[in-house]
This record gives sequence, C-alpha cells and structure tokens, in this order.
Amino acid sequence: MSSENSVIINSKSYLWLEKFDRVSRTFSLFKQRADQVLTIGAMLLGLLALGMAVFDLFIRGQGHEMLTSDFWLEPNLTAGWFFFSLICAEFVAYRLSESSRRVRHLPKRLYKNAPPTFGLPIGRSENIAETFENAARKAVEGAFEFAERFHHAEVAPVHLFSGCLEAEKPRIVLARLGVRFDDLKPAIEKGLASLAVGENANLSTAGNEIISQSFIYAYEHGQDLVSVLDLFQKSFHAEPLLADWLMAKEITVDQFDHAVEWVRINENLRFRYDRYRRAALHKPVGNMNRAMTSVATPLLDRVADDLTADAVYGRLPLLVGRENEIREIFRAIEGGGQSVVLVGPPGVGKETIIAGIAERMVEEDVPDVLKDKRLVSLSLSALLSGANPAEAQERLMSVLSEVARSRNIILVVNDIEKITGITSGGEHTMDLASVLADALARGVTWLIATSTPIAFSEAVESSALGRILQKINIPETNISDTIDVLESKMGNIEGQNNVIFSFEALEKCVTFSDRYLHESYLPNKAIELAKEVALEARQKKGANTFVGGDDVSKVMSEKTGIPLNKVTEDEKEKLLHFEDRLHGRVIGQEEAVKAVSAALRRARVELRSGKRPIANFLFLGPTGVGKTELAKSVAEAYFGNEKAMLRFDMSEYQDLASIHRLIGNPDVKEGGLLTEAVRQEPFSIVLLDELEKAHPNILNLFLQVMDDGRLTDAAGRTIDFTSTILIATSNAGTAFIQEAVKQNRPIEEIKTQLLEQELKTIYRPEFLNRFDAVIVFKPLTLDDVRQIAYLMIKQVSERLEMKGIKFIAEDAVVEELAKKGFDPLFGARPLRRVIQENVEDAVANIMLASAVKPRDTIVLKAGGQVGVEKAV
Amino acid sequence: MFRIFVAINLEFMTSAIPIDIFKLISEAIGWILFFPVWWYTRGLVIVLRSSGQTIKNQYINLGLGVWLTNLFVPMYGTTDWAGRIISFFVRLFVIVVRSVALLFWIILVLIFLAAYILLLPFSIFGFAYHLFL
Repeated sequence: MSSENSVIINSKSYLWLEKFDRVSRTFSLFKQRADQVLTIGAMLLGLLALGMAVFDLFIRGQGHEMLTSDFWLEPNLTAGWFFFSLICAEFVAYRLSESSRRVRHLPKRLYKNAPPTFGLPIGRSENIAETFENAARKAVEGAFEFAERFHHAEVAPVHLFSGCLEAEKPRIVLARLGVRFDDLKPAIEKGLASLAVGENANLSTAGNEIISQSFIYAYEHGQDLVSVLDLFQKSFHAEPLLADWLMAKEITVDQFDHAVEWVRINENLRFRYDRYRRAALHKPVGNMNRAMTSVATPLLDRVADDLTADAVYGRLPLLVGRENEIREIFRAIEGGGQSVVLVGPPGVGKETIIAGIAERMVEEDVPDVLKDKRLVSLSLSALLSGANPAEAQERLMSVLSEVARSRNIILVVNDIEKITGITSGGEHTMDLASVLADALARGVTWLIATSTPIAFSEAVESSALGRILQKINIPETNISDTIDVLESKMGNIEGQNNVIFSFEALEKCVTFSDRYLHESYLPNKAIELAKEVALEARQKKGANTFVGGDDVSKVMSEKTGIPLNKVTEDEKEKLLHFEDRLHGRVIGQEEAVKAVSAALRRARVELRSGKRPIANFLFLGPTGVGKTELAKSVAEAYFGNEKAMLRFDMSEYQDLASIHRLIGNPDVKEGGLLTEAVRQEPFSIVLLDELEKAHPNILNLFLQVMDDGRLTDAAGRTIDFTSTILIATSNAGTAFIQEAVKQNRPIEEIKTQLLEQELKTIYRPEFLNRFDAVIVFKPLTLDDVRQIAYLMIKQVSERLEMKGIKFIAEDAVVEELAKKGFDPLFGARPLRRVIQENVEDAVANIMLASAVKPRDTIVLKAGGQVGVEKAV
Repeated sequence: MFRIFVAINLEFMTSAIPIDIFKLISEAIGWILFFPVWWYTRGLVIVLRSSGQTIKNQYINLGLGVWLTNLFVPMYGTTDWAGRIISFFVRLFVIVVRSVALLFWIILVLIFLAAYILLLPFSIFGFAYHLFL
C-alpha cells in the first residue's frame, strides 16, 4: 500500500492498516474463536465456582454462616470459590469490553477545521479499518475473498462493490432501483474477467482510494462510523463498467446516488428520532417553563396551539433540509432582534419549517433568546370567531398582554394577511395589524408569521406589520431537494398504503408534478401525487405491491390527459406511419405533413426541450389549400378526435381590449377563453386562424407562449403550454405566393423571399423566429383537386352508407367536378360548392322524388346524371 | 516457526492455510496478562466516563443550571418588590434542595467508583487468602 495515500485530518494521519489476505483473515478468525473460547470458558468457570459456593452454603445448610465474620476471616474453600467467581466475572467484563472496543468513532468534524488532505503519514497512523461499521468491514473482507477466489493480483473496485452486495443496505438500494441481484452478475463478471491474475491479492491503488474516499465522506457528513453505503457508492463511482451497465437498465449515476441517499435518509431519520426522543424528556409541555418564570395564559391557551408541546409528543413532521432558511430566521431573531415573516407560495413547506424550529426548541438547539421558550401558534379563526372588530381587538390585546407577562412565548401566526384590514371603527382607527405591530415594536415577544407572495405584497407589506417584520423568502424546493424530502416522507406513505415505491416512481412523482402541475408548488405537490399514486396502486393491484414508474405515469395521464406512459407497440406503428394517416385527409403539402409528424414523434419520445410547446408552426398559403384541414386531421389522428383542437379565429381579436377575452379580465380575476381552455385540456392543438388579423399586441402575448411555454392569466395562474401544439395560419403574402408559383419558382426560394420581404411588414422578425417551422402551403394543382374531389365524394358516400344506401360516382364525373371546382385563387373551396350543387343536391332530389330504399345504389354518371339501381 | 495447517472450506474449494499457532497462543496469554493493566487503564476510563455522564444527566434532569441562572428573576412574572424577594428565597430553597439531590447522586457515583477501584485487588486477595493461607 503506498504510504502517500494516508488521509490527514487535524494533522493526524489515517491509514488502512488491516490486513485482509487469506492468512491474516484466517488468523483473525481463529483469534476471534480463541477469544470466544476464553470468554465463555471464564464465564462457565465463574458460574461453576459460584455454584460450588452456593451449594456449599445452602444445600449443606450453612447459609447463615455467610453472615458471620468467621466465614470471611477464617480461610475456607467456600469463600475461596466465591472470590474466584468474582475474578471470573471481572475477566469476562474485560474481554467483552475489549472485543467491542474494536470500533473507533470517526473524528468529530468541526467547522473551524481544515478540510482533509492526502499526504505522507505523520507519526503513528490511526487505523481507518477501526472506523468501519461491521457490515463495511465484512464487505472489505468479502472483496478480498472474491479476489482470491478468482486468483486476481489486486483487490479492485469491482471486488469491493461485490463485497458490499452481501450487506443488507446496498441490496435495498438495488431493490429501490428495481434491479435484481442476478441482473448484476454479467456486469460484475465482465469487470472481473479483465483483471490481472496473481496470488495473494493486495488492495489496489484504486481500492485504497475508495476506502479513503468513503472515510472522508463519512467524516465530512458527521457520521459516527463509515457505513457500508459509503463504500458501496464510492466503489460504484470508481468502476465505469458498473455505470455503463446501469445505463443499459436506464438508470443514471445520478439516480443511483439518489437511491443511496434514500437509504441513508431513512437511517438518519431513525437516528435523529432516537436522539430527539431523549432530548424531549427534558422539555416541559405545560405553560410553565423550566425556570418557573412564566405565568398562566388561559386566554392564549384557548386560541392557540402549543407547537413545542406538539413537538414533544411527536405530532409534528420532521423537517428535512432548509438549513439556510432556518439559519436566516435565527439570524434575524438573534442578531437583529426582529420578527420575521416567511413568504412563499402555498405548499413549499412554511409550516414544516416552523415545525422544524419547534423541534429544535425542544432539543434547545437554538439561539439563547429562544431557549426555554414555548412556540405558540395563534389561531386567527379562534381569535376572531363570533367577535365584531372591536371585540376581536380587545381579545388580541388581552392575548398579547398575557404573552408579555409570561415572557416565555414566541408567537406564530399563519397567513398573517388575514389580520390586516380588520378595523374597529371609522377610517382612522387602529386595525388588528397595528395592534400586533405595536406590541412587537415594544419588544413583547417575537413573531414568526407566514404569508404568500401575493397576499404579502397586497396586504402586509404596506401595513404597519410590513415595516416591523423582516421578510424571509421561502422558495420552492428544487428537484434534487424535493427528491430528498419525498424520500424522507416515503416511509409514512408506504406504511399507510402498504405498498413499496421504486426509485423510478419516486423520481417521476417529483419530475411530473414539477412539469405538469402548475397550480401548486414543490415539495407539496410531489408528496400529494405520491400519496395518490400509492392509494391507486393499492386499490388496483392490492397490498404489498411494488409501485413502478408506469403507475405514476398512469395516474398523471389520467389527471392531465397527456400520454406519459411508455410508447406502446400500437402507438409506435401509428407514429412511424403518421404521414400516411395525415394524407388520408390532406392532399399534397408534403412538407407540412412531414414537419408536423416529426414534431409529434419528437414530443412523444421526450426529445424536445421541456420548456416550450411541443411545436410552434406557422402555416402560410392561400385560402382553401388545407391549412386548417391539416390541423384538424392532426387532432383526429393523434389526439383522438377533431375536437381536441382549441380554435381561435384571430379576426375576433382585432382590438386591444379583446386581449381580456383571451387571458381574462384582471378586474374580475377570471380566466380567459384561451387560458381556461388550455388549463382544462393541456394536451391539445391550439389553432390560431388568420393570425395576421389579430392586434399586434396580442401577437406579443404569443411571443412568450412560444418561448417559455407559459402564460399567466388575469387571476395570476400560470398556464402550462408545454404540452400543446401551437399552429398559426395566415393568408399574408398570398398574392406573392400565387404569383411566384405561377412563375414556377422553387418553393424554398418563395419561402425565403416571403420571410425576408413580404412578411416583414406584417410580423416582427422576433415573432417569426420563434416558430419551429414556417411552412408554405402550395396552391393546389388540378391533380390535387381531383384527389380532393374523390375524398369529398367518399365523404358523401359515407353519409349515405349510414342510411344503408350505396353511392357510386364514375371516374368521368369526378373529373368533371374537379375541373369545375378548380380555381388557382381559392384552392379547394369552390370544389365544396360544386360538390354541394352537383352531387348532394342531385342525390337529395332523387331521394325525395323516387323512393330510394336501403340497400339500393345511387350511381352518379357523367354529365351529372343520377340513376338508381334497385337492390334485388 | 511452527505452523499447523487448517482446512478451511471456502464455499467451493478446500485449501490449506498456514496458521501460526505460537502466535495465537502467545496472544491469548497476552490477553490474560493484560487483564489487571486493563482494569486500571481502559477499564477505569470507561467507568470514569460513565460516572461523569451520570452526574451530568442528573444535573440536567434536576435543571440546576436553569435555576441558578434565574436566581434573581422573579417567579410567575411577579415583578413587584415583595414578589422578587419571595422569589429569591424560594429559588434559593429549591436550589439547595436540588443541590442536595445532586450531591446524593455524586456520592453514589463516588462509592461506585471506589468499589470499582478496590474490586480487583480485593477479589484476588480474598481468593488467595482463602485458598492459600
């Protein structure tokens, strides 16, 4: 082992000094046995001697002699036995204590200490092996066994990894990841096969590095001992083959780390809980503090909950993370002597932070000013119920005077904004907020209040309280922290529903709720989703089931209507041949069809960026060439029906005031047509017809939608557009397109000129830039129109089919109709009229005139002749 | 060096591994010889530590520190001068009572400590006295 690898902490060096080769291992095994033999031997001998003494004294009936001084002073064998058994007992105590001494606790980490370094050992090194918990030592031993079994020259990371797998905790990690032990074998064998062969395996440099790293990790995280999990994680990181193998199972290194963290968090929670229960023994739960300085607070007790008492009884949730916020609160209270208000959206855990403070107060792990105090949450509804403003004010005053006299109370008021604006009389009288503010200013107590950002800025900031309270922002937790929080809550959720979550499911609860649920906040929405999934899984699959990622996808799909589960075979076919399906309705326009199909495929396999709509398209072209038709057919082919399309005729939004119809009116705080529609159906097509007719400021609204995938409505809700396909159609530049097509100019060139010159006058360049594709629809050719004519005839025939009547049109008549309906300026629009006049009218007439019965066939012949073939 | 070979079953193979039997025996003898030394070194440290911990726990349990720091603070929020005087004497009385309780614990721990120190020579002496005298 190279000696430069010693870890140095506080100028003390730590090295792995244990030998684990086969000889040492066997020797230490024998030593252990010898120790056991000696200890048990001494125990038996002692018991035997005691037995002899007891036998002598009592069976022979000389028990009373023990009480005489002669018995002890006169040399006799019976007393000798007694003393001998005493010596044996002392010896046994000595051996037991020595054999449990082998574990040495890690050096305590202090903030002022320098971080650990590597270097040459200084003086006598401490043995790292002694700081390893039993399972971790076993794992290292196992690693050596593996190396010897395969006759490897060195103990490599993969050996250590395999050694860890014997222990329970690493197995839990794998189970959470949904990996079976047997699945791992090929990767490990592959890793083992590439290693050099030799005898008497030694710890390799990489292996030594892993041991040092896990030691440092445990030290830096204030652990007592090096856990087998530390070794497991570090050895996994050191062996790239293992990461590759996990990638093949669609598990990233990050997910592996989070799963390890999950097991660690659960262990920590148990440890924390034990320590906490011990500390709670010393905290009084009545309204008397330990120093007996407080007074009774009968009124306060009626309108408030004692959070510290709740914490002592273990009724509050344990807080995970949020170290910075707690430190900030303490700094405000201790340093500035200021009361605080925690401002954050609902569901980010403001009350859990307060519960965390209550728990710390129980442990007395708080600044001096908070020691030996009660944290009391004032219930505003209890305070204000059944009272007019004047009475409410009086009650608050009496509560505050009780608080003042008692001097051991820290007040908590949730949703502090409710207290503002309650006045007892005319305009210039005092309101409740100023009563409270006045008391705080006199230094009666400290207040920890909560509020939401909107309520704070509207009601609190400008009130008397706003000037006294220090605002502390509680932001939404990020994904990684939310995973930690959910991991800490998962034990409860699993226990209540009798299910077991895989890590994939847990992670999806967090990422999906972050991505698709925009009306509530992390971590609460992730916890709520996990609860829902757990309940659903138990109801559908029964108790003791494993909740996988697909279960979460299913629940989320049901909630939002967005397909999130894995792409099925059926759907794969559908997506791969999506162009064909679209061409069933849209004739020609290859480019447009291709672009739309590709966008949908990208969206479904999650290749797109999650921050924008699935796709933003601008369809340009003359009227009647199939722009709207394409949007409709996408809705039908992919979203299930034509109606899954939110259609907005932008000609209705020509003045600026109509913006309120789209996003709602801020005065009445209602959602608008667009925002409400997307909120209820986030997975749909948003079709903006005739975009050029809209007011330019309304177009600016869509700038943001296209860029961020979000829009805030008048009620302040953020509406998610990331699951929509935004399609805008426009007739702008039609004349130019038609002219250019007549001249047979290539479509690329037409598009370039359109974007660079023709459209510049109508749309701003940054607006055009936001579209994923600007697609120019070509004017229809006669051939296209002929095909469309066939489609329309088919539609007529389908309608007749429902009445049981067959309908056949000869090719010649279709040709006639196509020619009649072809108009380079208006596309396929005239065709519809032609079909109406020449086909539908004729059919209607014949149906009225002659009795066409079901199973008859109507034949449309050249020249517009209509005949009926009676069924036989 | 004298060695014996022991057969160890390693799941799939039986192999002969040399064990230094002298070393093993000398270690075992070392343990026995170390016994009295341990009693007054590591063993004593363990006992001293747990004694200290017991006294500390009792100190916290009795809340003596809290009472001492609040000696001049009136009880039950009675801040008038009569209340202050009464509080002071009541607190003094409580502190004395609690100190006595703590003293009782300290004496108990000291007795235990003395017993530990004397136990080993006492038992060896007793054994030798009764058997060899």
